[in-house]
Amino acid sequence: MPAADKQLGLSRRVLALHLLSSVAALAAFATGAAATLRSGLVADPTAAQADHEPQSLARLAAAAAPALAAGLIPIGLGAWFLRRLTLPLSGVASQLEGIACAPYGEPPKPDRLPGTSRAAVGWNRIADRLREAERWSQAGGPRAQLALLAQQGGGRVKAALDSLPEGVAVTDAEGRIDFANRAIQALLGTDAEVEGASIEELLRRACPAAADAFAAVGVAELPLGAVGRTLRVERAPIQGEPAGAVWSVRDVTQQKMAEASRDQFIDTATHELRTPLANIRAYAETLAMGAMTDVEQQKEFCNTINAEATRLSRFVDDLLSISSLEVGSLGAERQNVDVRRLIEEAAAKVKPLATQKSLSFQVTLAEKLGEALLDKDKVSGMLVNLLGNAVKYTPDGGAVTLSAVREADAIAIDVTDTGVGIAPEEHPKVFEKFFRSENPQVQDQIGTGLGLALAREIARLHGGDLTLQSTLGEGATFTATLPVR
Amino acid sequence: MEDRSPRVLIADDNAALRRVIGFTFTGAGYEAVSVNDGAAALEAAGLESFDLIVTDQQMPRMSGLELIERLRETPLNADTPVVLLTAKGLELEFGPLRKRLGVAAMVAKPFSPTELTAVADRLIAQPQ
Repeated sequence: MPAADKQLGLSRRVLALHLLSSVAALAAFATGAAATLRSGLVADPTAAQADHEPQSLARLAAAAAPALAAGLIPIGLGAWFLRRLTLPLSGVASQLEGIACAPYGEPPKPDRLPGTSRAAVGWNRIADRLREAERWSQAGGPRAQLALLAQQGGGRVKAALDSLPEGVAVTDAEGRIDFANRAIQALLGTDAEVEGASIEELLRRACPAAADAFAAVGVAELPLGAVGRTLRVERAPIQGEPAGAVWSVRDVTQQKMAEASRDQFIDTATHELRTPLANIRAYAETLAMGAMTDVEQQKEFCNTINAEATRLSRFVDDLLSISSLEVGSLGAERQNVDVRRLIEEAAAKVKPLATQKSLSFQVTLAEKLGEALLDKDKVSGMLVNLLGNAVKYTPDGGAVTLSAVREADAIAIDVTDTGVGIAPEEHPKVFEKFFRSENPQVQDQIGTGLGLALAREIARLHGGDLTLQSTLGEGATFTATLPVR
Repeated sequence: MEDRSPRVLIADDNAALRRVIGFTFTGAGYEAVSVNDGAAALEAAGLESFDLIVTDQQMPRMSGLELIERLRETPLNADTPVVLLTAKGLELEFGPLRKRLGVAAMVAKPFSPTELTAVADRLIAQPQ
């Protein structure tokens, strides 16, 4: 049996006992009174009533007293119980009456009731709430309360905003900063306290172009000339009163650079795709016209079409590798390969290009290079790329050398040239996809900016790496390290 | 048109394309001179007068557009019509340049060699 039912059962039994005892007491009282009356009347029925009356009344009282007492106790108890029940209710009623009669607009001021009855507890709860509400309104109403809440929870909100890399500021109707998070100062390049300052003034100081940037639209990209960064500043009005705006300031330099290199890539890719296509079309059409009678010349034209088609498909392969690299699905199929043979084959592919430019082309291999677990095609591609770059960026008459040694558990391959070299500030970027040097001597050459990105990826797929040592104008050395297992 | 064969200067850094353009122009009755970049073209244009110049836009050392600008300062080829070959097909972007620099025609790669010579014939028959 559940506890509640048990309790209910118990209180029912108590109530039944109460009723029984009350009924028994009343019965006893009635019986006693009746017996007393009867004995008095029956014992002396003719006696003068006046003589007998005091006596009989006293006797009656004496006889009835215990019975009366026995009857009155439960009644008293019941009355006390009733009073206990109804007293709070009457308090409630009188207070409600008071509230109803209170002048219009006056807030009700209920008082707490004594006692622990359910009615009192409930009423007191209402009273407390109303008093609390009264205190609220005395303290300035919901806005003040909100301000109080903001103060309590605001610490966390402020900490969160301060942790953002994005600058956030709130300005009043005049554009003065009410609040600014920590990032704002760094982004706008100021050490000074910004709260209270005009945000447009700060932006203008960082970038003079900001003056007109916000005239019509709420968003602008501001180039910070001195440091070569770009900020994206957005402004949104704050709904409601008081008027103001919330500002977000983001450093989009990386994004801008990515966009620029993507644009450059599209430029290069278009050129790389259209040039072989232009050749294929021109040669095929010339052949198709049938005006060419010289068989050797026809053969030469066919070979050109073939070579251009190969160039096109190699470029498409590069593009596909780059997109695999992007999704991380470029894998190495490693097998035991003769390292010397692999290197010599790759070098043989590039040697004709070096000869064309009258470059000295040297391959120096250590006696025992042995075998290594490598993806033959990919490593060969990497070496052709490194050697091809060396040839491409070395002026006529220069030198390109490849040397390879076996270290404890890796093969180290150096590809060195005496070419244009790479400026130190470009060293970290040369392995980025689509990156092409600002050096005009490099810009003059056709390239996709994919080769070195792919080459390093291939070295890394083997658990190795590709590194660079170079001084601008004095050539470069790329070192590929490939673990043998 | 005069009695002699029209002379065309071809500038393109891609040897294969240079060759096939030269071949086509020669077949169409032109006398063709080929060079591999803008600087070499400017040098050639300083030495003799041409009836037409065909140049690629994207070349090392000197781009096609720079070449056209510099040609206007040469006494022998200041008014020679120029056909600009472009691998990007940026007709709109080159539109204003065409007027300013006097680009007579633009041909996007890949192109048909016979169409190129047809454009050339038209330009030479109706000098601007």
